[in-house]
Amino acid sequence: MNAAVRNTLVTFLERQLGTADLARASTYMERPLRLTAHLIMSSPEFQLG
Amino acid sequence: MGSRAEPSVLNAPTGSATRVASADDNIVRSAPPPASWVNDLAPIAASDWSYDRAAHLIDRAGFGATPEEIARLAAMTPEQAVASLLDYGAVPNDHLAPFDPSGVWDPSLRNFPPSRPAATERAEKTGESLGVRVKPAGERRLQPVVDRFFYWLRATVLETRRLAHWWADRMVATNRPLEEKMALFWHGHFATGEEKIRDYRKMEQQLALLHRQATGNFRTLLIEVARGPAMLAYLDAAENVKGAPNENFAREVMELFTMGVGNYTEKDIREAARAFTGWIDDDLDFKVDPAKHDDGPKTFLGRAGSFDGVDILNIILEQKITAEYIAGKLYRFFVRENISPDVAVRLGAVLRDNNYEIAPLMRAIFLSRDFYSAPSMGTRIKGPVELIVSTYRKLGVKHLPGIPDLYVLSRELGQTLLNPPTVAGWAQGRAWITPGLLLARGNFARDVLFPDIINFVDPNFNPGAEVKRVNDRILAGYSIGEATVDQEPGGGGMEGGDKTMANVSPRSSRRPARRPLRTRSTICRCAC
Repeated sequence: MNAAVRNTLVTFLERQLGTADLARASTYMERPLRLTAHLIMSSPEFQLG
Repeated sequence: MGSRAEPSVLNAPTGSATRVASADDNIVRSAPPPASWVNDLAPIAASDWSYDRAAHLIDRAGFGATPEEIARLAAMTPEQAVASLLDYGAVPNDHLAPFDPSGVWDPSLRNFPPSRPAATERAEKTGESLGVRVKPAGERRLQPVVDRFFYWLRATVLETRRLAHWWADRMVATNRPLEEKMALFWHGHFATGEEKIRDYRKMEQQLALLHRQATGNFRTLLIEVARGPAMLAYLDAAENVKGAPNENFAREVMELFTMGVGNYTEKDIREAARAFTGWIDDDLDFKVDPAKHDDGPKTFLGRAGSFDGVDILNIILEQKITAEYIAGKLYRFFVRENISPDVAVRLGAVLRDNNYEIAPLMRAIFLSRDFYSAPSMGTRIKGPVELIVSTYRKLGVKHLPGIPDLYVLSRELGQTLLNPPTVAGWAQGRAWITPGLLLARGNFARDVLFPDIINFVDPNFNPGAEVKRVNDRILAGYSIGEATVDQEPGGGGMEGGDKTMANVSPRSSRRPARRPLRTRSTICRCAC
């Protein structure tokens, strides 16, 4: 994963969580994680093995 | 999610791969492999083993894994890691239940006729067909036979979907992922489909064989597939008789299953077809009908003799090209699309020198530097079933979820288990990707992560628009003959049906008024 892609995903997750503090977000983290996983799984790279 | 391999190996650093600490916690990754690893079948050294390479191994020799499972593989030597996947015989798998049939089949469905007319012809001749006797008097005397015929067509389709779901669940849950990956490969190689076979039991039987010989012996696998009822039915063995040979199986066994195009002649096909005459499936058993078998002298691939079908297969296996073709096909599925002719020759020799034992070939492939070279890693487009299963396994899911539905998912992505499009199986690689299919893969990701449980409707409850239309008409009181014509009964539109339905309360026991049929379509699917 290159840095730009990683940064995009991190930024996205932080925006969904409303914070960069995972402990603070632990009680509502599931949907943001699923949305982030969706981004990853929709990428061309995910189709490759 | 691994990074995509660089397309050019010319820029890769020379010398052994060195370990590089990554930003991920405690995961040590390799530097890009040397260019010299391409087409190098020498085994990878323990010093070159890494998390990345372990992940690549389990991606290809299985369906991927969680970070913890990959780390366990990475902690082994390459030989140990490959052995843990390949030598799966001792790996317990007791948590997997055998397929539990629904009980839709019974012995009266033996020798299922090839068509509805054949079913009714048998009934007219003998007074019975498919366990149903012809009505001695009254209207539509053969209708019960027709009903039974269409019952089985639908029942075997649904049971095959259950079997496919069971198999995919097995792929997700198994402790022997390579066994399932190999079975999937062989299913695409010895492609047969229920849509033509019309008997889920034959598919189940063949699937058991593919599991049994997944990494066993190719000679045994080839012969048992050839004699298996699924293949016999799929490639019209019953029509291959002395004096009128059907070349279907003889052609495909050489073109697709063993040697590839260009390595035999049309005469070889004709002679082989003669050798396979009389091969029949007696329900789930193989038999040779001596009266239909041509036991005369034949000339095949330069050899002369009164060959039977097994002799033909053994002669095929003696050809150098056969081992190279099979090894090459395995390589293209497990490593990368482009195989150098030299590698095909060397891998063919491994298969041949081991008397067609598959495991030594797979071990050589999985341990080779070429397998971990830049063109081989992160470059294979996963097929739909592989994508679905690997997604669940990587997420640590232990069983195949019911929603989204496997049949719907895999069909939308272009692959339906137990129903390949043709005897050539599925085209791999870039054939899996079109703009539409790429969107479908994005939708698959959404369906997995946000399953629509509220709107979900079991697709097995949908028999199709035509059946629904007939059902509506029957409920409206039309006879079967009227209900199954193409045009609307009563002369157009739904007017006639609507008026009839309006006269009937949902639970009324009154028989609704029948509308006279003014015209009859030339297409009648009922027994008249």
